[in-house]
Amino acid sequence: MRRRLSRREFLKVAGAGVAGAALLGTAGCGGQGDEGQEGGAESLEMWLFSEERAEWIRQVLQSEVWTSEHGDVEVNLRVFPYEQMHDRLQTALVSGRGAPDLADVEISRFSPFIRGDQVPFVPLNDRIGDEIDNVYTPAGTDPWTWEGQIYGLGNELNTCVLAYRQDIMEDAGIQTPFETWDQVIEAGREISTADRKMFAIHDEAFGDHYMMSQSAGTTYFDEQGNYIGDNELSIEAMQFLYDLVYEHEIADIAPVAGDDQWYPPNYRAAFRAERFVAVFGPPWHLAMLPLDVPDQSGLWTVQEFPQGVGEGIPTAQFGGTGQCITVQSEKPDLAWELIRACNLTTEGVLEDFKLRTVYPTYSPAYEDPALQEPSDYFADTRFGELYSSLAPQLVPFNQSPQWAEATETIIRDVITPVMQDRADAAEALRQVRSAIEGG
Amino acid sequence: MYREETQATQEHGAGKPPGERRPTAGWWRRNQRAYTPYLFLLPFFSIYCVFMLYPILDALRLSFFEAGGFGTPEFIGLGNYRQLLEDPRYLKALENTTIYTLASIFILSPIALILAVTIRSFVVPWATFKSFYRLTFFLPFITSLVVVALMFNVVFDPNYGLLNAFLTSIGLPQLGWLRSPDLALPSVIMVGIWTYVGINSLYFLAGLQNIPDELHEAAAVDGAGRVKTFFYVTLPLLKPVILFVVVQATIFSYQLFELPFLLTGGGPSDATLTLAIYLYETGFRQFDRGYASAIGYSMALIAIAIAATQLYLYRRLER
Repeated sequence: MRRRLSRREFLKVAGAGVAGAALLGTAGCGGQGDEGQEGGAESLEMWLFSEERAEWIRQVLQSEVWTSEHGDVEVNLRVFPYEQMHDRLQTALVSGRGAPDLADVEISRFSPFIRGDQVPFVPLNDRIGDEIDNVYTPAGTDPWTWEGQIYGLGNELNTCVLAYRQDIMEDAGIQTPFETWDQVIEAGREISTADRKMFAIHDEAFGDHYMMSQSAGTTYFDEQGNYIGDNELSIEAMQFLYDLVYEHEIADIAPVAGDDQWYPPNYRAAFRAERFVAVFGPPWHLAMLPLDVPDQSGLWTVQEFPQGVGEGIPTAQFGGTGQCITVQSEKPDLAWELIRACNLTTEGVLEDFKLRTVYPTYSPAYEDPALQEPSDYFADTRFGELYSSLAPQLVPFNQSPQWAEATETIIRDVITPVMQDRADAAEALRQVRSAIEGG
Repeated sequence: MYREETQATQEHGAGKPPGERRPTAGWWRRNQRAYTPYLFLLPFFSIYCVFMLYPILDALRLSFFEAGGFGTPEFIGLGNYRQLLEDPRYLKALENTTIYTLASIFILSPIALILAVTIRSFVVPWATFKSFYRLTFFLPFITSLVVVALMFNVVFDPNYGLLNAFLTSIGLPQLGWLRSPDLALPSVIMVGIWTYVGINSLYFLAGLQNIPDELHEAAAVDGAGRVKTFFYVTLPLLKPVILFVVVQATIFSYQLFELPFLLTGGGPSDATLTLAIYLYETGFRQFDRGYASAIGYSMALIAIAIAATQLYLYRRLER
């Protein structure tokens, strides 16, 4: 016979349920325990925004370089979407609890962390020690460095080069490699038609201008983090990009989309359709060619940046992600061991190379034959040799609390007006200063 | 049941003199009918207070502080609110959001009304077709905005997009729908209309169904044509629904975030920057929490002020 539940019993059960839920909730808010799930093993939590980078770390965790000393450590990798991960990390760090032991911080999202008088990451200078001499610092540490303190270590040597269709240049009787940008422009005039241009220049992203500025010998900030993006070299770089499109007519505005202003599918499709036959950029950008334009394998080649814009530095860098230890971590030493295994050991960086073809910032790794293998796609170019020879010439990266604000302002007030509406490059760049300093 | 009643009797003092009853039990017996509903509401209000009310009040406090990055917040009084009035990006975002709101009121809502009237009219005589149209109009609303944005990114693509293919086919030049500062906001408005016209049509349909047919028949007997009937019978009786649609369109338009963020990220050159996107950028990308809180409160105040004005005007019209 079914017994009716009295109101008293209902309230008791409901009360017990609420109390139980509250207890469970309280337990859930208890931060990260020092112990792992089983057997009292130590544990680490890391937040990332890329499944590929997470896979790299999983490979490192299974390699000898980690298992030999820390095989019993549980590492919990939590992958979030890009914006969400950085937003959550900021929120957890400012609230004082809930942050992981370590996190990936993308180069353009680091600046909010150095606003204010406290930086919520652990300085790594002493931990890196003499190994700093083995790191290409403009790519490995500069982007996560503020006021002399290194707060993150990045593995990607995003050295930029010029890539072009060797077969098309040869068919047109053009001599390569190019020594000057004037030669590139001349070649562009030879091969450009209504349906084919040399370059695709971005009108809603700062990357092209940032790369050319570095090649010209400057960057957006000085060593103290003050904006200097309106200097003559920066203006020359902007004018150069404008001229490629409107003066020399060897470039078109890059076909991008609202949700991806850099290289969405239609941008890649344009290369497949041979609408563009040259590109300059970092390794992760060139990687789209073998991936999305496989039928042009062997037809592309690469070289360093030609001379002719500013100081003519033969390379630049663009992009990168660093690993940082949060001040909330109760195991910074163990977290550092993971960063070290990933970034400062040949075994660790080779795992990333095998997985994502990332050329490392850790210079001793270039002695490994794997990094010196020629690329079939890029006419047997030995990228390891090329990148490691260019890396010492990289312009230092000067970080600033205003980095994100400045790059957004440059896109909004310089790149788009100049590349779309033919605004004056010098005037537009000078206005950025007042916008940044006023803000 | 028997055992329970027995226990209850014992617990409540059967066999004891009335004066020896526990005072709390007596209090509860006297007041439980009044207080029990509040107990049931307690879980909701606990969650509301912790996750809604507290952040709202804390954001108000924060809006009076200079709270950038990870430093110690510094009290600056109304400094953030004063800055709003001089901030060209905030004013641009306010302008864009207001244009979108006006488009919601004066373009989207009339289209929704026309659609609703058409579906209900003799133009669509079959019930199955009426249901089909209702479902079709509603589908965009239940489609994820991410999917909508991806779809319209393809439709608006300057080189391979459907719209430009159409323009080219009739001999017109291609347009940079989401890429041109002049066209980006109208393009976002077009997507907004496509997405939200269906749900607003359903509001109007519900309102139309509440108008008794006798009134239309009486108007017809009196010699009123369809147009006159619409303006003198249908429209006045739809006033409450129109007010509801306009108020909710105003409130939601001032919170516009997802569509422009996914379609253009607020660009090009802030052409589609809305107040909510500017709040997000300020709060997370620049990590200026104090100023972002002030932007949030300004959004709320604007929406409340406009909605209150609309209600006031409506009541005056009623009189």
